[in-house]
Amino acid sequence: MGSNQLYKGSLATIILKLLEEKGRMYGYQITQEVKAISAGEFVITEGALYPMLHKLEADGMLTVETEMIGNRMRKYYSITHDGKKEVVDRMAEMEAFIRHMQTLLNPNIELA
Amino acid sequence: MNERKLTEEEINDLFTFCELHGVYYYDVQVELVDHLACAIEEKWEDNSFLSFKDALSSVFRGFGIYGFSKIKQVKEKELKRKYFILRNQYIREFFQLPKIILTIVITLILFLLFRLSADKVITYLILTGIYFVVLSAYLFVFYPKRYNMRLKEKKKLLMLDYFNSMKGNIYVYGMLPLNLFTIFGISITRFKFQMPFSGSAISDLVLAFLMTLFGISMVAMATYIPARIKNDIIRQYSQIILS
Repeated sequence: MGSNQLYKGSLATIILKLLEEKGRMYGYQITQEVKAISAGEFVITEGALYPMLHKLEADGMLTVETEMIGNRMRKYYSITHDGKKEVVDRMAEMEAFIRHMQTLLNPNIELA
Repeated sequence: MNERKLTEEEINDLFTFCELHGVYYYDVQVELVDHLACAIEEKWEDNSFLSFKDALSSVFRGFGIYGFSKIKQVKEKELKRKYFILRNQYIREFFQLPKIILTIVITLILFLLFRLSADKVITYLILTGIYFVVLSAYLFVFYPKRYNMRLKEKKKLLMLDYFNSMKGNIYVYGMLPLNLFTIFGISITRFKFQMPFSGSAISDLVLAFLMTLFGISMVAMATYIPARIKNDIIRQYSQIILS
C-alpha cells in the first residue's frame, strides 16, 4: 500500500504520542503496538523505527533505561518533559494539517 | 503449551550475527539483539518446531535489503551526538553557583598576587609551572588508574571509544595556557622576559580570570565529567565491563 509513505513523515509524532499514552516501551513492542492499533494498516519497519528512536533520544525527547529480561538486555524508552511539550505542538500541527488538507482536496465539506 | 525461549547460546549467536552484518559496537547491538529475539520468539509461538536458523533468517528478511546498515549508520551518528550533548549537560551541571563564586574568588586572589608581586612574569611562570606539574602527574599517573575500563573479550563499546577520545582532548586543552604567553605578549627572547601589558590593572585582571577559568575547566574536564560518564557506562553496561 502506498499509504505507508504518508505515515512516514508522522513517525516521530506517532512514537511520541504512543509513549505518552503507554508509558515506557521497548522497540519491538512499539512496532507490534502500532501494527495492532492500525489493524495492520501501518507497519513500522525496524530500519525506520530505531534511527528515529535514537534521534529523539539524542534530542532529549526520550530517555532510556536498560533492564535484563531473562538472558538478554532490553532498552526501554519513555517520554521526557520536553517530549511531552513536543507532543502538544506536534498534535496541534497535525490537526491543522488535516484541516487544511480537507479544505484543499475537498472544499465542499466546508460548505456542507 | 510450553513457550519456546531463546537460550543463552542462541543470544550469543545473535550478537555474532550482528557482528557479521557490520554492527561491531555492543551499545548498538544490544537493541537489535532484543528485537531479533522478540521476533524469533513470536515466530515460535506459531510454530515451535521452526529451527533457530530458519526463524532468524526469516526475521532478518523483514529488515529489507539494507539490513542493519542504515540502522547502524544513524545509530552511531545519534549516539555520538547524544554523548556530546550529555557532556555539555555535565559541563553546565558543574558550573553552578558555587563554582562561579569560586572562580571569582580565585580570580581576585590571583589578581592581588599579580598586583603585589615585584615581578609579574616570574609569578606567572611559577603559577603555570605548578599547573603543568600537577596536570602532568594527574593525567599520566592518576587518570589512567581511575578511568581505564576493560571490556570482556572482543566487545566494543561506542560510548567507551568516545570516553577514551576525551582523554586526548584533555591533553590538547591542557597545553593551551602556553598560548597565554603569546596572547599576553610574554615573549621569551634572549632569556629576557618582556610583558608589554604589565602595569595595566585590566590586563592583570583578565590574565587572572583566564588562568582561573582555565584551571577550573580542567578540573571539570579531567575529574567531574569523566567520573560522570564512567558511572553512566558502568550503570548501563556492567555485564561486559571487567574492571
